[in-house]
Amino acid sequence: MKRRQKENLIQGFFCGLSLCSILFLLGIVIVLFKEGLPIFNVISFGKLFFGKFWYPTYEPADFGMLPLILGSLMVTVGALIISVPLGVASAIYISEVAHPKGKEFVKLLIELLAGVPSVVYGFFGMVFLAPLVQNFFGLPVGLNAFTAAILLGVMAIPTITSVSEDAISAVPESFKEASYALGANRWETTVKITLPAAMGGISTGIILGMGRAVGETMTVLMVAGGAAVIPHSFFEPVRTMTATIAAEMGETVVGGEHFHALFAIAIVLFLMTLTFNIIADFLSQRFRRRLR
Amino acid sequence: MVKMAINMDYAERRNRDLTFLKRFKMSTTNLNIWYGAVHAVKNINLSIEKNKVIAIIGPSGCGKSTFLRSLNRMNDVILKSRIEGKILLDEKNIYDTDVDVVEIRRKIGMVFQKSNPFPKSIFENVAYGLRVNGIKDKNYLEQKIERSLKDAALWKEVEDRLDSLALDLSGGQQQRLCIARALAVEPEVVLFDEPCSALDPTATAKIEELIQELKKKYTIVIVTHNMQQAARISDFTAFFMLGELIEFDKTDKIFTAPSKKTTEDYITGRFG
Repeated sequence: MKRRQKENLIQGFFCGLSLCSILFLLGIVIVLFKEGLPIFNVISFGKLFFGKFWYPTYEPADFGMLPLILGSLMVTVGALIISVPLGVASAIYISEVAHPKGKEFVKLLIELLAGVPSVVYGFFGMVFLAPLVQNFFGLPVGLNAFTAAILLGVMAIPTITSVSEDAISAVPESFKEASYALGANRWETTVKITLPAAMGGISTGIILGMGRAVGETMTVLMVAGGAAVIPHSFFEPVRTMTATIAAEMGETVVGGEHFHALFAIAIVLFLMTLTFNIIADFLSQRFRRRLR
Repeated sequence: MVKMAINMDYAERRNRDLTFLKRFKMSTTNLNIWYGAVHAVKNINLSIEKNKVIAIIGPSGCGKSTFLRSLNRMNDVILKSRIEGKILLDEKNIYDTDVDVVEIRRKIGMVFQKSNPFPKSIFENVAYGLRVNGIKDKNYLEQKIERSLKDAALWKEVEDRLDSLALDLSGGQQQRLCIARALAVEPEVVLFDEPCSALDPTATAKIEELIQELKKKYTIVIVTHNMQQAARISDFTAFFMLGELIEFDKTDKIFTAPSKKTTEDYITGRFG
């Protein structure tokens, strides 16, 4: 009997701990919605999401989120264009091509990339990359969506690489052997057998990397330029949703319209990343089932 | 006079070689294989007759799978393996430096222990080998796939669902699909690495029957753990132990009057 009690106690302890993190999440969601929803008393749903102007301090204020959503979208898409090929290629190199020694080395470097604080990326971007971009393309400002996309792209690489590498390594050796036995070479085997079989996991990595890019704040705040206007090209300054919250939250009146509008942005961000994560989860599960 | 004698000798040898080549599809000469420091296969001399089934038996870890995998250079994939000696396919050493591995593996197909269809459709599984060999013509592909599936005795069971996922087939069907996949590239030799070890008796019987049928067209080497299976389906049997070839002879001889004591002990179940 005593043993069973002990067992139950331990079970309860771990159950309680895991409940704690769920509780935190719940708290965040409740606060988000409690503080974000009141904005709809002031402004309609359509005007908030599709309004073209974000002038929160004007009188009367404009809370059109479209420039911010587009800013986030632009920077994220740009980041993916950079990080997907690089990230997936590194994963292929690590798991299929590299010699064991080279493999460890590259893996270490990429993990190092993940360990660099985002403010350091931002600093590097401001001091080094932005002037370079400005001079190279002859732009009026170097702090723009392009520069931000490059940095975010580099930041998303570790996520994409490590998840993709796991997926590629999980493809059973027997598939590859069968392919070799049919007269396929290494490259054909990788492209036609290994990658398709790992596709679920690779897409999971890409979506997680996307989540990383959408949610990144400090770097974009520092290098994206900060102009809350609808962008027309990659070389214009933009402001993302995350940067807006970070920049403006400190200077707004608690409980005011602007305050609620910022929370509404946070809700949108939350729902976006949640969707990404659910999709990623779904894909990785489907992937696992397919390989059995 | 002396010259003529040499000529005759040469002609005689040449003739003998030719009959040898006609009769034997593959042969190994002083074949040694190492995995790192492990001497897995020791000095094997073995000739494989055309259109016959050669079974390789022996206790676990006796080097029979390693030997089999060396026959189509599948060991190349393993980093630390090293090989010495010769393996002839017809008259060409497949380990010569000017040999294209891809070509060798096309000529010598392989079916593995665990059925391993690709996570693709049935059609695409069989088409894969043809596609990597550069065949694009759709008509030809379809004909070839039908032919291969018929040869593997699977066509009737799958003809109306070629587009469904291969992993949805039963274990025995998957293994026959793997056989069809290997046959599609028109190999000359087919190697089987314990093809039935994961199958139930009914599925096993089907595959055994199929192998009997296949030897009319192909030369077959099969590694098996199952001595009854070797006795049932093979024409010749090679008994391996600790990396050495203990005995190689006609199957009925091996199983009725083995010339070595070790062989007798093994087939009567005294060890292994």
